[in-house]
Amino acid sequence: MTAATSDVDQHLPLKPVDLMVLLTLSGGERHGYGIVTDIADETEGRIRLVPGNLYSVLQRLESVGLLVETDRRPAPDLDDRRRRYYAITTLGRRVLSAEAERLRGLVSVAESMGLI
Amino acid sequence: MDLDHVLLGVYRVLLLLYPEETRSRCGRDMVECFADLLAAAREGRGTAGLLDIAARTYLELPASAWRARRTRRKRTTRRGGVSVETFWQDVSYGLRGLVKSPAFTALAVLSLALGVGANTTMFSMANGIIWRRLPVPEPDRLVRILEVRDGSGRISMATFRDLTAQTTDVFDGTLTHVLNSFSVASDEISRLAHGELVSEGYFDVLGIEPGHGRFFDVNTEGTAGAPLVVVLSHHLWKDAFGEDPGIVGSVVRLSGYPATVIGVAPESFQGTKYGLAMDLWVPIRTWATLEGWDGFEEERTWNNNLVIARLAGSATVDDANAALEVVAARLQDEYPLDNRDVGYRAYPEREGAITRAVPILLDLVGVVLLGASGLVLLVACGNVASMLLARAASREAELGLRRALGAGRGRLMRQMLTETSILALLGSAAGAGLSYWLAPIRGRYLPSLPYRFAIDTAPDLRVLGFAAGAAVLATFAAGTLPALRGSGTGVGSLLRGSGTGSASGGGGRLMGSVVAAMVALSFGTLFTASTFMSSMAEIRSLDPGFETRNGLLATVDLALSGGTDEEALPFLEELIREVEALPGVQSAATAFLLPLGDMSWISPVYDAARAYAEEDAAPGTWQSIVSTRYFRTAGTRLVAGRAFTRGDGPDGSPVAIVNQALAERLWPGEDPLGRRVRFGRTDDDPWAEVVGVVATGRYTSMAEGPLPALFRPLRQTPATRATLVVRTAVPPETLAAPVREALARIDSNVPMFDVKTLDQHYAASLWLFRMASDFALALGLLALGLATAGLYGIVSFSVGRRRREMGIRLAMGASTASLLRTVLLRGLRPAGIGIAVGVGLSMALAGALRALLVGVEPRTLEDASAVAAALVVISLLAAAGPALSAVRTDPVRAITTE
Repeated sequence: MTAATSDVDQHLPLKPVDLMVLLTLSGGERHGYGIVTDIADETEGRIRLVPGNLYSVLQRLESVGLLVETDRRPAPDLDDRRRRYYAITTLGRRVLSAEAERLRGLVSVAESMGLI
Repeated sequence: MDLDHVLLGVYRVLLLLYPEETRSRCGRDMVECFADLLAAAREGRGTAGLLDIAARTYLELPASAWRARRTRRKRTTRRGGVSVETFWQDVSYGLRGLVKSPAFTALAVLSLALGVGANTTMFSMANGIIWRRLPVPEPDRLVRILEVRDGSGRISMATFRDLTAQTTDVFDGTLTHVLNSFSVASDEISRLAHGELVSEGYFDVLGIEPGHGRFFDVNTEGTAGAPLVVVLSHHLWKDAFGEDPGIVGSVVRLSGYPATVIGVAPESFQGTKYGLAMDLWVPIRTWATLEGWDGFEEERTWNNNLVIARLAGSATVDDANAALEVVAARLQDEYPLDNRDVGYRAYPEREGAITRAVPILLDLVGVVLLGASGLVLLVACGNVASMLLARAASREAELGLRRALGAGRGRLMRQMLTETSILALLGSAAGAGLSYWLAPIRGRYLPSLPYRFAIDTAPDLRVLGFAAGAAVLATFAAGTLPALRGSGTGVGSLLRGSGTGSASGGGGRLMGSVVAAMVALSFGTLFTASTFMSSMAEIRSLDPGFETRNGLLATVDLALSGGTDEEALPFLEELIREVEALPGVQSAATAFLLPLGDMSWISPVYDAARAYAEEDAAPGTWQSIVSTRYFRTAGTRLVAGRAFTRGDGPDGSPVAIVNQALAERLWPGEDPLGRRVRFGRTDDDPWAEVVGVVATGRYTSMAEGPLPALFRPLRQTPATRATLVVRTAVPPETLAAPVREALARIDSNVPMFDVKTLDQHYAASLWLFRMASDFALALGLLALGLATAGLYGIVSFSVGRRRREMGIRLAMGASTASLLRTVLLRGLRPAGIGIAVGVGLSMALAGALRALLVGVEPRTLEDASAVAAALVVISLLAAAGPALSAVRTDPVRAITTE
């Protein structure tokens, strides 16, 4: 096992909320409210974050290096300068792929057992 | 201040729970994010959505704040801010303690939620009635100017113009409004509308922007001969014109005259008439057209105008009053006859409106319901206090240990009060939510009336403040005793062994007194409820003086379409003929006013054979004008003489029918038939001969004493307003449409309004009693439930603590029965004391209730004994469970288990 793999492995498995946040950010930078609405849309309202837990997730993921605050902004007319934007890091992307891979493994086990 | 801002403000305060680091880093983003969520929720689901997202955010906040602080503590070394740190320790310790005993937490929060919820509900009603401002910019800068000579406070148009011209240094603008009824017709159907005749600057002074179109033009629409224009309320626009976007510029018939709709008011604005929603506004000049008289502008005795003004710049109400004093003195000099002793006074807008508001609503809501719900909150606090006492007692060992290790008494007290305040906060939040959720139920009690109430009872900042205040009160009411007691636990109790000492010690006595107080308070609440309910039952059993089943009512007013008293008689007689010809109708008649309606006409009636001196009183008599066959149609019993006939016409001699109460007052013990009544003090006043006597009914309220009443025949005293009474052989509501059509066949310009069955009319007269009785019952049951839970709690607690003693007694040969008796008696003693105190409390309450329920005699003794019996039974039941489990104690296990 290389050092890089173990970096990734220590973040696995991801909590569902972490997974959703990273998935959302893998589509591009977002500010806090954008993340909340994207997740609510994608999960059809099953995961509805409020500012409190959103920002504690963001801070946690930032402290372990999976995402960063960013200076780059989207197109100027969409921009709202007051807000902080977040972007996924390279490590974050690798963790996300590894988690997806892990989930695929689980799903194929479930399939082979005829559960789905 | 709107709800969004309140919610956002609360969130900003709650953010203080996060560590400084998190706040400076993400605080602003979190507020922005919350604001966006609120905006999206309002867009999607309105106020319910707002409250939903706010509740979820607030409830989640302590958890994530705690996480943030824990992470921070792990990362950094502890430094500074001892008191904040201590507070935080207390909060987290309290939270953990509460999470560890979920049943206790749930019960305590539920108790407080019910108590706070009941109070918040009552308070938001009072808030809507008493404190809510007009929905206009800077409502605090508005004042009402009232005349201070007679009671009405109204002034004339001429005086209004003088006031406006001479107060420009203290007021930015003045407006005047006069309430009036109109008919509004766009096609075949005309309807009744309530509106205000207003000065042209009305909307400018209030600072309101039109929803559609425009408002009045001060320069053109105030002048004589200008074409009629009207501004519709949003409600009327929606109700009568289906929100037709092309309404502006179209012409409607306003009380028979064509008028152009120039605009629609915004939805939030319902006029300046206290408690009533207005349908339309017209320039005050319209009066000249409607009445065919333009002298009202100059006539200084036409005192019909109410005045509102907006304070200028930094002017205060005192400045305004000083200026008004000068103006009043000037006008007294100028018009010594009309303005003798006349002064003017400015009041803050709401206060000025309230001075003339319906007092019974205030009495009812203020005294009875707020009082009773206050009792319920106290009972809830008592319940939580006894639970906390029990909890403190079972934590004696822990508390003793902490004191032994050096924790100060103050420190322990603060920590226990923090725990209570968390409970109180949770309870208040849940209670406020409960009250919001219950809001639609309040609306159910408003009677069906021909006008709309404009009392907004939705929660606002003041209601939230009230709920917060209730939380603080609850913290101290419920937490002080347990904290004092718990923090006083000495090292001794630690040494005596684990917390299984004797419950008859100080803690037990304290719990006993708390329970006794709770029982006494719920006795008071239940007594109020049962008095209301038995009075209600008594009122229902009284004869209203008419037959309530199978009757239909509909009101018309010829004056609304420009008709006169003379035209009214043939019109009404034709209407009666048309309606009587309808299939399913047994008979029809009209009455100027109906008993138990929302309008009454009471004036003195004199015995024509007597000479009255200046100071002699004559009975104040309820009067109405009725057509032939009215008594038969209404089902009012004729006890002597005859009913009105077609012969009682303008050419016949004047006649009247009196009720037994009036006959008894004027001619006690004598035959009233053939005697004469007079409608004034002197011989010159009109008179009438009594030709019939009817049974005494109820006229102004079901809770009134026997009231003298007198009826005059329609053919001798025609009036434009009349309520059609229809006695039917079929369900009355099926005849509403045919009756409307019958009217339209005669004259489609006359609006028919307030169409309802006699049953509904009767029920509406009882709505205040029904509401008070239902609310009191709900509050009483709440108090009873809380007291039962408290009683059950204390008995099972004391049994639990004495299990070992019981085991020993049983082992020593005590009989089960004697043990049961001991336990039951010990549990019932506080309940007994509570009931005794409650009886005393109720006797004091009975006097206040009697004053509210005129006309029925509260059965104080029966009600008090019924409540006492109920409480004894409930106390027995609450004590029986724990007592039975106590005597089934296995002696060996009880003694050995420690």
